[in-house]
Amino acid sequence: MTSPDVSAAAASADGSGPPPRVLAGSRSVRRETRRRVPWALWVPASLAILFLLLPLVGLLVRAPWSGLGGLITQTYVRQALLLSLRTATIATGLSLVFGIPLAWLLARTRFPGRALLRALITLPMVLPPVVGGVALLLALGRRGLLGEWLSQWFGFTLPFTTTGVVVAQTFVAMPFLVVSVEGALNSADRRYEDASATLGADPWTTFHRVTVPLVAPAVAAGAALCWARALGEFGATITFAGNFPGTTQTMPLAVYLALENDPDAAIALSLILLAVCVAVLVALRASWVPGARRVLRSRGAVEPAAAAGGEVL
Amino acid sequence: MNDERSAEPAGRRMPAQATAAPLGGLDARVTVRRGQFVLDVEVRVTPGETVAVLGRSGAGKSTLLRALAGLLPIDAGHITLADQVLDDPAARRFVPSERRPVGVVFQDYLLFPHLRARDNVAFGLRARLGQRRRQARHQAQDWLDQFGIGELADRRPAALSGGQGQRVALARALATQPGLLLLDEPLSALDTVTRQEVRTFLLGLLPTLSAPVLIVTHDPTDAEVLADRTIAIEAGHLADLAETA
Repeated sequence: MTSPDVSAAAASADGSGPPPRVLAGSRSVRRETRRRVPWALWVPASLAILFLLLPLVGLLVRAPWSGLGGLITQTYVRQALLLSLRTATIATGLSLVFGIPLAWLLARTRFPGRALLRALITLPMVLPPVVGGVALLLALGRRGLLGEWLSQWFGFTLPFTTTGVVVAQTFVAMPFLVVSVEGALNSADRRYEDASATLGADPWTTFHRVTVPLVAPAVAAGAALCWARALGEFGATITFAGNFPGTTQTMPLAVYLALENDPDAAIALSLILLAVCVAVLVALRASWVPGARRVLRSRGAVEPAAAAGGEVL
Repeated sequence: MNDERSAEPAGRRMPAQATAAPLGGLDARVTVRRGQFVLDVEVRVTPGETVAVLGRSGAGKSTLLRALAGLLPIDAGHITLADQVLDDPAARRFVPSERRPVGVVFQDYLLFPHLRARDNVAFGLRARLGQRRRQARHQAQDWLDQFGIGELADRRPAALSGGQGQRVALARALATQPGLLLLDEPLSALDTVTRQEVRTFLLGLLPTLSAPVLIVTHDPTDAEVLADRTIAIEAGHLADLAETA
């Protein structure tokens, strides 16, 4: 590839983009574009940073570090933590199994009412979770639309069970995965799917051997968001599944209750949640970001023109 | 689309058999309408023959290639390969890409970035020929060896040069034993030196193939060097070769 100077000069020579500013070589042109940040932007941005980080600092400063060990080993804490990890993971698994096909349907097929369907599906993202919980009760509760049949025919009730927790978490968290994967599918290069078809792959083979691997970074990011959302789920869970230690009392519920009786325990529980979330984020970044880079790099490699264009910028 | 198809007077086109190329060849009359643009060309390629389709960008070369590959249904005409009808709107017949014995080498190769070179080649062996994973990998390695890039089998496409990627793409397409090979601008993504190297490689390879080969290119020299015969298209129609070149 050509040196930056040459490619920048070539870009301005072809007439597209801003007129060339012939100064002391294009390097200095480039440095000039790194403008000063206006105070009207950096002041509010700094305040936003403070605002977002201060509560975390508060949590760390006020944490009862000395008594932490004793608090963490208490039965109800361990129960709540294990329940949360288990249910959030199952909810994420369900979201992957059902959400990726849904994202594919939204991104790759055309049918009437698709825009409306997409809006309705993403509703749980903006809906107050308590409302979601009430809606779940009305649909899947003992007297709900579907719940009545479930309990009559199979003697199976969801509310106030661990399964109910998973259902509530999946309801609020799956849209995060769907939105993330659909976005990636929309921007993915569909010609890879053409190539797959010309090699004899039917649509299903193309889906799981080409399409999904190509959007794997987005699937991972969506799954992480989904898992975090499920782990933090409070409103829908307490409304639909209740608050029974051992079966439906997840970490957020335990934190909320502990805040009334035992604030130190609440802080400790919050710290644990924080640590778990940070650990997961770090692990995901470490294992998935190189994957994302790999896909981008190879795209650049097969499209020299695009790569050259990128270098000019 | 179906209305449009049935509205086409059935008697206007000759039956495919009457004009068919000898067994194994490609016989196609491709009509595709896209708004104002109409592609309407007739192409015949006999087995072992290499035909170049020469035209500027926007002339309809890519549309023709996509139609032959089964990525785009034609609006009228027919596509027949080895006496098998692949697309005939009048007869409501359309064989989708994954069931056409057509191999394609795309302009920028479109090697799957998440798969190693060997698995890119094995992909078609598994999907089209139904081979098991081990057998497909083994055979894919043979193909890469034969193309002189066996030692690159474990590399991902991002770690291959343009010329190497071209060979992997060729191996991937040929491994599925296509009855028709389509090459889309096989040399345009390469720098001058690699271009010469790949051209020499193709010159050695193409005569050994028994399937008909169609090369789409905008470069008269490439068409001249690689093909037995060249047809030119301009604004969707066959044009006088001398003018286009």
